[in-house]
Amino acid sequence: MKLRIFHGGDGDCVLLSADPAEEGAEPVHVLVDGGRRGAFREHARGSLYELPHLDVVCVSHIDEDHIAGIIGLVRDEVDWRVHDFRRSQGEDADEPDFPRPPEIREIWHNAVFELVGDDLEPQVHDALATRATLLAGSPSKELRELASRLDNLATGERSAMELSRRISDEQLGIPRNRPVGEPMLRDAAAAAIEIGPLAIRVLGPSQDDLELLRDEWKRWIDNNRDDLEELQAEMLEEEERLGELPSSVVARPLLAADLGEGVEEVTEPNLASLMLYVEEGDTTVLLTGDGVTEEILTGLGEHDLLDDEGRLHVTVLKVQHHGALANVERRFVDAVTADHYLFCGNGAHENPELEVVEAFARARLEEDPADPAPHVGGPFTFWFSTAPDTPDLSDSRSEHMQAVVDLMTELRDEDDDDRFSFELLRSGALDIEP
Amino acid sequence: MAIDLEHAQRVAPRLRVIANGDEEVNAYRSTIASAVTTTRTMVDRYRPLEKLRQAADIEAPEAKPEIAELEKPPSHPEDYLDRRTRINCFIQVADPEARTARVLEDAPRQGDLFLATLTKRQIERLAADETELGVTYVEPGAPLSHPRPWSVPRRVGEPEPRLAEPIPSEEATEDSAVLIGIVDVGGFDFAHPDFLVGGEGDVPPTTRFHSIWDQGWLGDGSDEAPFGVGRLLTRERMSAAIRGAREVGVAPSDILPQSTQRTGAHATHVASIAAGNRGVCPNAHIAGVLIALDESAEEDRHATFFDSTRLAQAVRYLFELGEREGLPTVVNISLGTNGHAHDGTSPISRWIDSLLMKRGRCVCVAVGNAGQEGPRFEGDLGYLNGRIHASGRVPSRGLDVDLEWQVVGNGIVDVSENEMEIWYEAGDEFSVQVRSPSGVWCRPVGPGEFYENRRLPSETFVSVYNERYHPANGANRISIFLSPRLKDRIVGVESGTWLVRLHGVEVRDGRFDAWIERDDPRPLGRLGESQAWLFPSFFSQRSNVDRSSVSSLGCGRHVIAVGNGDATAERIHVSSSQGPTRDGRYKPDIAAPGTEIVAANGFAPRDDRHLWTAMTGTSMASPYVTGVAARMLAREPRLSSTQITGIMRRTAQPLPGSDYAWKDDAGFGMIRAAACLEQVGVPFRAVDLEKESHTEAKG
Repeated sequence: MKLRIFHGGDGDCVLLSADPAEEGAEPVHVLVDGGRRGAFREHARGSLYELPHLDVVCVSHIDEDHIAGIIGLVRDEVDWRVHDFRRSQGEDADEPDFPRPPEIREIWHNAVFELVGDDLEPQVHDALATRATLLAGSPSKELRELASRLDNLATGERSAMELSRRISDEQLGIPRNRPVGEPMLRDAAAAAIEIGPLAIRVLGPSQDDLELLRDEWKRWIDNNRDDLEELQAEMLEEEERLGELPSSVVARPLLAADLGEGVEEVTEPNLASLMLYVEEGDTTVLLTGDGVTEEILTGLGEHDLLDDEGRLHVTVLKVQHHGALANVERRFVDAVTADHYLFCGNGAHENPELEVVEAFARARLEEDPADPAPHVGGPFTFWFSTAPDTPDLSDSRSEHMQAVVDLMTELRDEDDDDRFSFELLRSGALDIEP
Repeated sequence: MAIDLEHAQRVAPRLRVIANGDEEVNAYRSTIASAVTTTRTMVDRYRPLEKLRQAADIEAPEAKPEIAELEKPPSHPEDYLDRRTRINCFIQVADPEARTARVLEDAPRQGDLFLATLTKRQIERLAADETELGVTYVEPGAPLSHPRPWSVPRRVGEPEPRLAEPIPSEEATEDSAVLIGIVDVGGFDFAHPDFLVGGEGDVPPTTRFHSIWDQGWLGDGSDEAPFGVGRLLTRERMSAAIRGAREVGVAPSDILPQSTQRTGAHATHVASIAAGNRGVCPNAHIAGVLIALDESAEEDRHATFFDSTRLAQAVRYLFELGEREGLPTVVNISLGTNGHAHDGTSPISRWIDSLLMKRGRCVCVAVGNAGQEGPRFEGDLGYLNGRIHASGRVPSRGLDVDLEWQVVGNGIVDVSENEMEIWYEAGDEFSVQVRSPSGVWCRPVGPGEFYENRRLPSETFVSVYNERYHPANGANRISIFLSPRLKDRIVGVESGTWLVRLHGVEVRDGRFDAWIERDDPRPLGRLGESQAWLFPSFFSQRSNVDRSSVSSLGCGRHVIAVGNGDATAERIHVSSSQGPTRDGRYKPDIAAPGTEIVAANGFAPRDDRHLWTAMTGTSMASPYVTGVAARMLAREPRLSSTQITGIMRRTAQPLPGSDYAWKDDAGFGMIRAAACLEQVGVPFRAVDLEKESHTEAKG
């Protein structure tokens, strides 16, 4: 098995490929997430569209930085079909200016708002859109960032709807999920899904996760409503009192201070990433989406993949949520080790965060030589999907990625055994061939 | 442009403001204003969208509160060369038959009004009246606003048939002899099941849409489109797309796209209410006109007109289509305009009224959602859209009345142009003076006087015109413009409260009405992590008057103006705009169900979860009335729009607790479809008492 990392902007875009188990059979390709639309077009399309087919396209969750590229892929297929139709009607239609995308054989994708409940979906949409619009005008940088995340999510939700519509029988007719039409959930008792030589296990989400999530989203919507109603009342009172609206009519009531509990309280609940464990012989890959420590470790535990000390060593670890501190707890760094650590991110929201990258590195550099675990003392590599000098990267993101590189260089210099190395993707793709 | 002062009174102030800008300023304007376009070359040269977005980060300098002689910017004699700025105009002429002006040779005419897309030079020539036409007035198309309904956040199922009062089924086929025209935004999902007929097994269904005129389409096809604008989708092509989509596994809208196709499209929802398979008139022929008024088309705005002249073309096209097809026609307009006198004398109102002189025609208009004083749900800013009207009285000569006009700031930059129009009767004379938020008083402007494009220290440009005896209605009009700096660098309009002081020079009656005319607020796009907005001004709570907020379009004499009734709660929805018109006529005429209306969800997945959606607004009420009017005309095509209005008013059901008197929000009450249908023959049945008594005597 080999992995190809594409530069996906601030998102993920990874291709897993494996040679067939039997002579003469087709090689197997699994695409996990599509990154941003523009990045997908720029960096992934080229080599990806040389493939004849994709056995599975997996959308870990509906955030724009994961789903948008996949929407682009599906739209490209639509463009070609429309072109074929025009030609068949004798129209003189120009060919699309990109090759025909590979045949997509199945899509794995949980539209989270469909899963958390029918009646919740339109409310979530409404809450997101409203909130994003209001916060966008805020003078506080944190709130504006939150606004952009919410906006992202509102767009992601629309993307999920578009994907559902595109792959339906009425249109592209691509089967979704295993079993077809059902949500893709963890079932530790079930056999691994076999895609050619790859054995794939779903670590999460579980049915229980969804139920918790449903409550969380419900609470979030209620909080939002109460917050905003209160603020609006204050705003009107103030206007009544002053006889005019404060000039900052939209922004003022949304200052962080006015939100009572602070920014954390308004942060949206998570989106139940589809997390996978992929095996081919001795090669193992852990794909974590934007999952959090608890979810990943529980999933690994349920599948009996952790040893007696609660540890796991894999060939490749795709680090969760672009290396954001909020998703990586200390116990995760101690529990899961890898030969190859993959960080997808471009400095947006300061991901991958320096603390996270350093923690993963130090856990390996400072391991106890007396520890009998087989990986101890072995070499390991960090892979980054974005180099500081990637074209069109904003200054602040480039600066962050430079800080990551400086930290990596420093750590490599500390490593007297030459076990540690790192690689940066400048454009196009980077291959991990374990 | 230097419009000769001698002819100043022939050019509408708003047009003068546009014409005073050079090609750079108008490159920005083309992105902001609905009636102005420019070329790609100009856009590439000045990058308006980019600069407007960056404006969000520019702080306006502190201004000193002193009475200053305002700086007049240098004039640009080279502006004659600006042939790239094109402006959509209504031209009112004294002798419409003469037609000797070359620019008006092929221009469509309705009554004494021509429609034309003009350069500044052409406007100047017309204003100078170098022709025999006797040009009375040239004014630009007015911005159209999209009275945004809001989606109702709940899961909905398939809608019940719209008419609660059952219509005898054997009569249903009668209702096919009518055309329903929908002028709207967001895209018509012609392949939604609510518009499909036929189709079984392998035979694909066909759409009930006769045609869709997509005014915003910028690709090929304009040569075959009405007025050479956009492109026309015929039923044949739509049905082929439905067939083809099935064959190759894509959406019909992929094969035959429209310039905008939004999920939950407004146009689709409105068409579904009036004429969908579960709509009020499910057998009507449907024709759609898509106005290019949509925020998703930001990049193309500089090249697109989306002003009231486009609406004028749309309505005319639909009535002509009905005539060609031999069908009586009802047109629904769930869009509005804020400006002008609100007495039915705006060019677009006169244009439509003139089209309604023929029988077998009818136009229904949503009165707008400006009735609301406070937010209606969490996070709602829509009520600020509603603060567009103020009225009052200058009590006597020598006394003053102040109006407060608010421009938002702080994180939101207003780079739109703001206009206030104050209308008062010819018997009075007011002078007007403007004070900026930082306290700078501009010089007073007396009746018949004006100044234009004066720059304040805060870089806001102020123009004030005090016109007498307006050619449309003989009344007086004061127009005040606050424009952002749009040259070299962009500076938003100074934020805070602007004061407009009216001073009585000669007062006999003293009453006045003021409206703010502008586009709806819209986000311009992302700037770094934040959002730049066009967030136009509004009246302060103190100045705003919560009546006569019916959209200017709804004030037309012969259109049916429709308010939003909540059928469940049996009251008028809080957001529905109120009448009467400025000249005291009864608008809205009637109310119809417009609250939580379930209808087709355009361009969404075709599954039970997403097929339908609920929306609330006068936009949903108007198509209900359109459907009823269509049924009336299908049965009795000799009815005129005024007769239909009369029947609807007569048969309306006052809300519980109301008497039969007209109410400013409900009009004459909720529409009663069955009662309307019963009355269709009445105007054509006169009883000759002589004959009758004769017969009686005989018998």
